[in-house]
Amino acid sequence: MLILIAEDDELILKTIEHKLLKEGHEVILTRNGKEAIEKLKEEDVDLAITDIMMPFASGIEILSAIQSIGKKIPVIMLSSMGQEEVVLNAFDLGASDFIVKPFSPNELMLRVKRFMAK
Amino acid sequence: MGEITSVHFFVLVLSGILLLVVVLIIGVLLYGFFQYRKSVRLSGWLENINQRISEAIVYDEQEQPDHHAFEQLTGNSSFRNLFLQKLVDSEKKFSGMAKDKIRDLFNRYGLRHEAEQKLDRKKAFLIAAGIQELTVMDSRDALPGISGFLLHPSPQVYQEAQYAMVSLKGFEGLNFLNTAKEKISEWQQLRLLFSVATIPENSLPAVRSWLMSSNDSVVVFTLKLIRKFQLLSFYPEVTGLLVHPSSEVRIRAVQTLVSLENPSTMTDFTEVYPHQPSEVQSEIIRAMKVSKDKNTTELLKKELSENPASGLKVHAAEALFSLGHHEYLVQLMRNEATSDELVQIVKYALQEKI
Repeated sequence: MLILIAEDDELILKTIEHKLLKEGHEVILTRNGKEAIEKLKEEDVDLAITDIMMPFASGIEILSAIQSIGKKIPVIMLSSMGQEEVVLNAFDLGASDFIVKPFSPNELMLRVKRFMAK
Repeated sequence: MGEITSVHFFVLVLSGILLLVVVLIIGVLLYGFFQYRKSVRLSGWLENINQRISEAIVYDEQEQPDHHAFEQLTGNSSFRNLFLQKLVDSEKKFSGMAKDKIRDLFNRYGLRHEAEQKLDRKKAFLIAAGIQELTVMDSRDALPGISGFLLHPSPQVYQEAQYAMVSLKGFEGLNFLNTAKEKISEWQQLRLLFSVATIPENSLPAVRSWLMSSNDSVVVFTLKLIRKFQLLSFYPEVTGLLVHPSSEVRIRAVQTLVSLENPSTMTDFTEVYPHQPSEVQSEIIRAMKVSKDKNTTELLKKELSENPASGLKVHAAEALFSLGHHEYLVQLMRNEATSDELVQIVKYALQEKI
């Protein structure tokens, strides 16, 4: 499965990358929303894991971009505590799941496996 | 002769200035070069550290690649301090087993030494940082050293020490409340409250003594503790605080009594109400509004008509509405004997509800 990760925190990005590679997935790393949108247009991504707050374009803008290019890509949002309204907005825009930071990488993998099973 | 001397002098001065400019340019270039080298080195270190932490989180010990280069860097004290700082930051980003892996790295590389060294420094922010690092990394062995900072003159240090005690020892760590002289800020109270996960059965005498503390912030914090853990047996002691010299304590006592949900609460409030300052009376009326206890109706009607404070009248009108006295309020507005001020207050209080 080809998974895109959009995250501006280098440690979180690297950790998710290692975890997905360990599970046998291919990954595309992006460090801002704009770069993520470009990659989503270019590549046939099976799943996207994206932070909400990022430079240049937010996770919400990534969801809007996915809608506008007409691709059906499941998206797991990474949100911080206190972003409930943004998360609700994300679900309206088609987010498939969300996970709250601080988060457990193992729990994130369980969510990824759930999408693989579908 | 005189002209030659002055030209000679002019050339000398010009040469001196040029030399100075050249030296300055070289100085700036050297400074820039060393800064650049420093930033390149720092960014390389950060990359190494992120790689090491993420691998430690994801892979088991036997699956991890060789860390020879990293191990060599850990001999450098600046690198160790940066590594420690990044570990503390990382701990806030992950939950579950990942947290344990981060703490394992802290112990494996002996970074406790770096954190403890900060406790010997003079600057308050460094001591506080050292305490925070030891707390985040769950270094329970460091508690005896940290407890010495509970009486430090700097709020930054003693607050961090208080948090460390509670974070690492749970309820038992709250013993500093027995002697706390300084005000515990609202933010600090929240941090402490959040860190206490359970209350042991033998804790009741301690809680009782904190309720009698001469430090009002200790009493307020204890009331929050009673509220959080629903310590119903403290109902009489909390009721007793309705005559405490501090209005702040009385207000918190009202809020605590409401959360303890005793059938006699509204009767108790009605009895003490006339002897309270206006801010406590407002809190009691707000509590009556939430309780919807019909026995409070007479007091609310009286306050709406007779109390001179407009704010309190508004609360009373809202409470009466929530108790279902809609008709009474409408009649009061229509009554010609009702003052314009009271009509306006009732209208204001009910503008969105009627």
